[in-house]
Amino acid sequence: MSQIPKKIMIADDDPGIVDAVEMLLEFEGYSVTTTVDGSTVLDMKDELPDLLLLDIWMSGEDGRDICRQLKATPATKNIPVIMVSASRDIEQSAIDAGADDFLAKPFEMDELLAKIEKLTR
Amino acid sequence: MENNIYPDAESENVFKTIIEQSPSPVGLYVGRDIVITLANDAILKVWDKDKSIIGKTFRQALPELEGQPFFDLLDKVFATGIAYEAYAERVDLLIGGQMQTFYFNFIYKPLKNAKGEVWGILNTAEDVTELVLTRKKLAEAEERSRFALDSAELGAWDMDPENERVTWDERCNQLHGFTEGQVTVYSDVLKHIHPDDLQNIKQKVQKALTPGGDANYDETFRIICPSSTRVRWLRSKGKAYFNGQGHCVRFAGTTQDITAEIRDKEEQRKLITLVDHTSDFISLSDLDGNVSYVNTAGRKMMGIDDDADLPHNSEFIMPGEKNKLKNEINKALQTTGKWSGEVLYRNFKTGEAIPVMGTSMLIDDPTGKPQGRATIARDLRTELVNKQALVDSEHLLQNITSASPTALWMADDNGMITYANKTWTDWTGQPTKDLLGTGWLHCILPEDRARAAEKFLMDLKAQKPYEVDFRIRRKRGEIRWCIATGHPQYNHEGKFMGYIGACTDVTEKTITDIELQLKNGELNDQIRQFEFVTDFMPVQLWTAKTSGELDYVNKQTINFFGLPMEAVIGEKWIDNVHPDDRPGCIAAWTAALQSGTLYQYEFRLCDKNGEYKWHLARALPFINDGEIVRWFGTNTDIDEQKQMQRQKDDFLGIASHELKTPVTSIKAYAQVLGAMLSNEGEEKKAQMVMKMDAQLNRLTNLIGDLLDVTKINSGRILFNKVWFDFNKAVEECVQDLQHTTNKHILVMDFKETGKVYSDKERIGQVMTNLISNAVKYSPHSNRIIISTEREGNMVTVCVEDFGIGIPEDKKDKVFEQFYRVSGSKQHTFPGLGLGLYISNEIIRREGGKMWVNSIEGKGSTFCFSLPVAETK
Repeated sequence: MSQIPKKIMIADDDPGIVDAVEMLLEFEGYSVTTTVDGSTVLDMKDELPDLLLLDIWMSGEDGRDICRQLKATPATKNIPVIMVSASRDIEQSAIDAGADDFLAKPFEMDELLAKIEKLTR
Repeated sequence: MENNIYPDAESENVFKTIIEQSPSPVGLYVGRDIVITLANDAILKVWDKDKSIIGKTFRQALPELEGQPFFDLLDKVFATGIAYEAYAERVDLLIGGQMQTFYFNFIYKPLKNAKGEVWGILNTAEDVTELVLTRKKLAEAEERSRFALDSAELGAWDMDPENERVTWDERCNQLHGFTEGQVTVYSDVLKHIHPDDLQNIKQKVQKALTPGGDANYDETFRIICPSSTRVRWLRSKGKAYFNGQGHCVRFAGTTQDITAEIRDKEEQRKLITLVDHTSDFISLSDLDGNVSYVNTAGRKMMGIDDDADLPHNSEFIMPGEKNKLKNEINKALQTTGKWSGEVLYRNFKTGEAIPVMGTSMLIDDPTGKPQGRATIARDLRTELVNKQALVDSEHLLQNITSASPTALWMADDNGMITYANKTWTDWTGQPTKDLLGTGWLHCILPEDRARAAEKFLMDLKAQKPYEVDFRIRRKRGEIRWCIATGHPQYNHEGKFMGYIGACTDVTEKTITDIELQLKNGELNDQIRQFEFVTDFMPVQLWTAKTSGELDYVNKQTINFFGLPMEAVIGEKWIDNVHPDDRPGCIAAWTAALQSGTLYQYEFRLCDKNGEYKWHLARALPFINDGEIVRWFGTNTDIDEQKQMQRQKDDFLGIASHELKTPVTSIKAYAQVLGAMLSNEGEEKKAQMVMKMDAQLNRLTNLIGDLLDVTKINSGRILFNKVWFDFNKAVEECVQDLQHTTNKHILVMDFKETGKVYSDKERIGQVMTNLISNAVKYSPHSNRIIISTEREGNMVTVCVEDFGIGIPEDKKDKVFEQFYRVSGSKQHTFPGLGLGLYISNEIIRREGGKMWVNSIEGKGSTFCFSLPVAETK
């Protein structure tokens, strides 16, 4: 395992989730950046994360549109994306938008960690 | 002496030699004694003599000729010097000792010297015996044929086709109506032949004469004699003879008069035709009653087929008539030779008795002796029927006139009644003498009287058919409606003579009409009231035929659609249903029509503004005499309810979604906290945090249930189907749930199920629901049995508990939304009452079904079955 912590970006419009997950991931040894504004995700330039945890319904932004744009941009297309939603039914549309994996809220933390571990290895 | 005879010795020699050499018999007799001086071999042969006779006298040489004329003839020739010539003269000669007859042409020629004195006779002869005999035979044959022709009254004819020359006998002349010499050629023959037969005869003769045919000719034809107008029938038979080159050389035959024959035949034919075409029965029999003939009408009447044998005459009558035949008919025939009377015949086929008027008579032969009997019988059935019909119709007429409610009347050209039948008097009690003239008007009610009289006078003036209605007062004071009609009558000169008419009591009909009118009025009133009510009602009312077509809608319905009635009723009603709802609606309506049971369906109807509004349609069949005559239905506006329902579902959907977000963060915090506490060795605190997490899972499940209900209600539940091992999936569920309970043992009783195509997660959800219910509702037992099996295309799972069970009347309710077990203790069980509802809906939507068997207090068995794969 590398000594340099993996960088995880969390994009969710709910500050509670952002805070709790950030705390969990940092506790697990990840380096975490967060945003509650979906539109800022596409602004990232200098420090690209090793993985993006992307909520689908973010007040005014559709996570799937963001995901499609990221996957269409050469610089960001290799960043693994895990999409998160309260609705289990839209899993397929998330995968179709280019997401590498999907989690339904509320999720077990162990499940989240396993997926991150798998995609950042 | 000899030398003296011949004046010239040389010429004598020459002469002698000629005679000797002649092939014809020649003899020279010299002197008064007729001495045979020369006789050549030919004559010697005739005589059957040799040369020894030379030098003898004729008499000496041929003594056998004595008695025949030759000696005298020779003497006479010598004496007179006149030659004797004979043709085919008979000569009897002794040949070989026998007298034989020959015929000769011969000449006795006197030979004279220069002085003219006869010195000898030269006899030359020619044997014509054969010729003569042949001629004789011919003559005899001709004689015979003539005799034959005569006896057969045949005329013989002969024609040479070369020159059409005709040779025929006298009889032919007679037969053809000619006198002798009138017919010499063929064209003469044709002169008296009937014009109708002429063409045929010409053709047939031509045919017989044509080479290569059968050469026979046999024709019957008519002759019109110029001497009389009588037509004579002739039959001519003949044959054409052809020579080797195929030329017709002769056409000969006979002709016979067959007029009598033809006449007889014709007469017979006419007679038989007559007999056969008479409509009466005619039969002939012998004296013993053996029937030999029955005519066509007779056969038909008696049912005897044309080719059938004729029975004995005693069988022609009904068995009961046999005594009559024996005692009456036969006796009358014996004594008077004739009988007439009625008797019953019997049809051979049907056995029907046929009354006939019969006449039987004896028939005498030419000598006056009876030889048979003839019977003529007339079928009396028609007459009897007609007679009966006449009697019947007379009766009928009487009955009609006396029983009918019709008075008959006559009026003269002034409109005065001159006759009325008894009916008018029966009705009104007015005697005939009073009603005549204008008296009848008194019986008419005063209100109608003037009108009736006026109309009558008007029609009378116009001489047109008359019709008027009025009321009369009957003799008991009763008032009746009548219609009087009259037809103008004219005499043979076309002059108007008055009326013949009838007056009919129409009271019954009038009353019925009035009642009907009243009834219709009442009905119409009722219908109007009904319409008012239905139109007033805020529900859409409709009726439909048994075929399913709407045939009535109330005003409310028309107003809702904003369409004319035609666009709503009939087959078009379905056009107003939302396209998405049509298939289900049609299916439900069809099912109801077929089963005759309640129809109920929710659909959206397009209102006049083009907006779809939810309606609940319900209809029941109206049954009359066990048959559905019509469907009565309503459409209730449930759009508002539906909106509320949707708002509720939307709210639950949003609420549960919103609830999930804080739960997610709480879970995250709890798990981080639990991990931290574990790291710090605070195991007890960490346990508490983990329990918190378990409670969060329960909360998550409840939220999930709410979300599922909203999905189900809005039809938005989705299934993610895959093939999976059914038993294995069930087993995973059971094992997961076994961890949550310490009290119950979950017993697995699996049979082979194989793989199924379904939503594994949802099936797991259902299993979890059933097993956790079983745990929850069997607090006092410790065993739950989970069994699976496969039957055909269906897999079935049952979860059996031994808990509190479900009352019989509640069994169907457990699958309803928000149903919770009620009872003294049941309310103490937790839950939203959504689990079974969701499970049932999931199974139903996956094409399966769910059911429960339960005995209250003993336990419940919840089962569901699923198709292995979608059957569609």
